[in-house]
Amino acid sequence: MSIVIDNLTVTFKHKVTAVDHASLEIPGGIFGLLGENGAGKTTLMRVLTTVLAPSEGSVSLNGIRYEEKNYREIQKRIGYLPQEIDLYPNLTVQECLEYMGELSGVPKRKCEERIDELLERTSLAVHRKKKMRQLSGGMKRRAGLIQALLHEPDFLIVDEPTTGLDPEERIRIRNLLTEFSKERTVLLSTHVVEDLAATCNNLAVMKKGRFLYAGSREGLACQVKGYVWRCRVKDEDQAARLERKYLVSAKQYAQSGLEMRLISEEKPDAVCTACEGTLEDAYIYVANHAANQEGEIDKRAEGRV
Amino acid sequence: MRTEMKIVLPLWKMASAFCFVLVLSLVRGVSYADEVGLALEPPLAALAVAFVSDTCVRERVSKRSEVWKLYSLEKKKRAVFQRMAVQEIFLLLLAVSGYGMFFMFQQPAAVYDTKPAVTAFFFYLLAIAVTLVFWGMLSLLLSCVCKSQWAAIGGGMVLWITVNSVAGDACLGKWNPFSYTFREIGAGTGGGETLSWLCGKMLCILLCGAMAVEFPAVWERRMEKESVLTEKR
Repeated sequence: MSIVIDNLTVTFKHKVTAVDHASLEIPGGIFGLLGENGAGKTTLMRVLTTVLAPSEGSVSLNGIRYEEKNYREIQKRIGYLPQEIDLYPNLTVQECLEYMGELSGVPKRKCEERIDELLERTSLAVHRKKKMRQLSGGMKRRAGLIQALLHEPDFLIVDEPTTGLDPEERIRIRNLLTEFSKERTVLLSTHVVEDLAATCNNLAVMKKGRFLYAGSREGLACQVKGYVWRCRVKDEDQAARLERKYLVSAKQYAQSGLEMRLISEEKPDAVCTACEGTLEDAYIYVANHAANQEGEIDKRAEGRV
Repeated sequence: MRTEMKIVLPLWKMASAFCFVLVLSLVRGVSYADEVGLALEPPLAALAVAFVSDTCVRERVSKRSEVWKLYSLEKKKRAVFQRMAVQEIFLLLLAVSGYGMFFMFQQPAAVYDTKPAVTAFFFYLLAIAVTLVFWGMLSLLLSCVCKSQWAAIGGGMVLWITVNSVAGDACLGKWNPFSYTFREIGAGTGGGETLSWLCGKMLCILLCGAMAVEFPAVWERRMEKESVLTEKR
C-alpha cells in the first residue's frame, strides 16, 4: 500500500493556503507527519480522508486517483481517527462500536468478532459495558482506534492521538499503532517528536503547508549532526545573549549552574562541547533553517541584501 | 432502533419535552374538551422544530462527521431517518399523554352531544401526527441546508409565527398547516365540526413527502461536499 501526493495545494476561500505544492510518497508501515500547530497537517489528512478536495495537484492511493468517482472505493480502504472525536456518550463501548461497525458496512457476525478481538488487543474488553462518557481520555482514544480499524482498512490515518494523555497511556497508544501497522500503512500526525522517535522509520516535517523534510528518521537526525552543543553558562545575561544568537533546544538549571543545548552550524561563542543530536534537535534545526532561508529570499526580493 | 433511541433521546431531552407539555397542560386554560387539541397543536409543532433540529448536525457538533464521511451514503441516510422516526414516535406519545394531562388537570366540560369523545381524540391524533412529522421534517431539512441547528429553529419559528396568526389564517384558510387549530368548532351539520381542516393536513402530508424525497439530495449537497470550502484552480 502506498500513497502518492503530487504537487498538492489546498487553498481555502479568503486565499488562505493550508497546503502549498506539497509532494510526498508514503510507504507501508508507520509514517510520521511532524509539524507545529497550523503547519497544514490536519488539512492534508482531511484531503487524504476525502473530506476536502484539493485545489491543485493529485493524490493516489495504491494507484487509485482521488477523484469524486473513486471516492467510495477509497473511503472503504481508509480508517480515520480525528484529533477530537466525541463518540456517542450515551452508548456503551460495545454498543458504540457495533453501531459504527454497522455504519462501516461490516456484516454483524464479523463485526462482533472484530470488536472482541480489538477490545482484547487494546485492553478495553473489561470496559465494554461502560458508557463512552465514563471512559478516560486514553480509553476513548483506544476506542476511537478500534472504530477506525473495524472494517480492516489498508490505510489508517491518526491525527495527534497522544495529545493530552499521560505518559503511560501515550506509550500504550504508540505500541498499539506499531502493532496495527504490521498489516497496513499508518499515517501518524503529531507535534510530539517523542512519539515519532518511538514509532516511525519514515517521516516528513511540515511547516506553513510545505514539506521541509521527507525521508528516514535517521536521515532527519543526520541533518543536525555536528551542530548540537552543550554549553555551561555563567549568568542569565550570557544565556539571554546566546538565546538571541542561536537556536536553543533545551535550557536546564543543573547543580553546576545553567546548562543550555544549542544548535549551531559553527561552534557557539561560549564554553561548550559537541554532543549527539536528537530527533527533536533535528526538527528544530530543519524548521528554523527553512524559515531563515525564506527570510533571506524575502530580503533579497525586497532588495535589502 | 434501540441504539438510535439512546443516541437521539437522552434523558434530559425527554425530561425537558415532558416538562414543556406538563407546564402547558397546567397553564393553558381550556373550558371545553374540544379546545384541548387546539391548545396543544401549535406548541407541539414548535417543540417538534426544536426537538428534531439537532438530528442532522449532531455528528458535526460532536466532530464525528469526518468519520461519518467514510460511510456509504445509503447507511448515513438510513441512520438519519431512523433517528427521525424514533423522535417522532416519542413526540407522538408525548402528544397523547399531553391530551390526557389536560383532562386530568383542567377537567374541561364535555361537548360530545353529537360526537363521541373517541372520534374527537382520533381526529386530534391524526392532526397532531401530521403536524409533528411536518414540522419535524421542516426542521431537519432546514438544519441540513443551513448546517446549523439554530438556523433550523429560527427559520422554523418564523414560519410557525407566520402561519399561526390571524393573517396566516386569513391567507391560507383551510390550507393552513394549523388548519386543525383554526377549525370552526361547532360549524358543521348538527353542531358538529366540519372536516375542512383535513385539507391543510393533506397539504402537510404532500409537503412532507416532497421534503423526504428532496432530503437525500440536500444531504449530499450540503453535508457531504466540504470541497466547496476549497478553491479550485
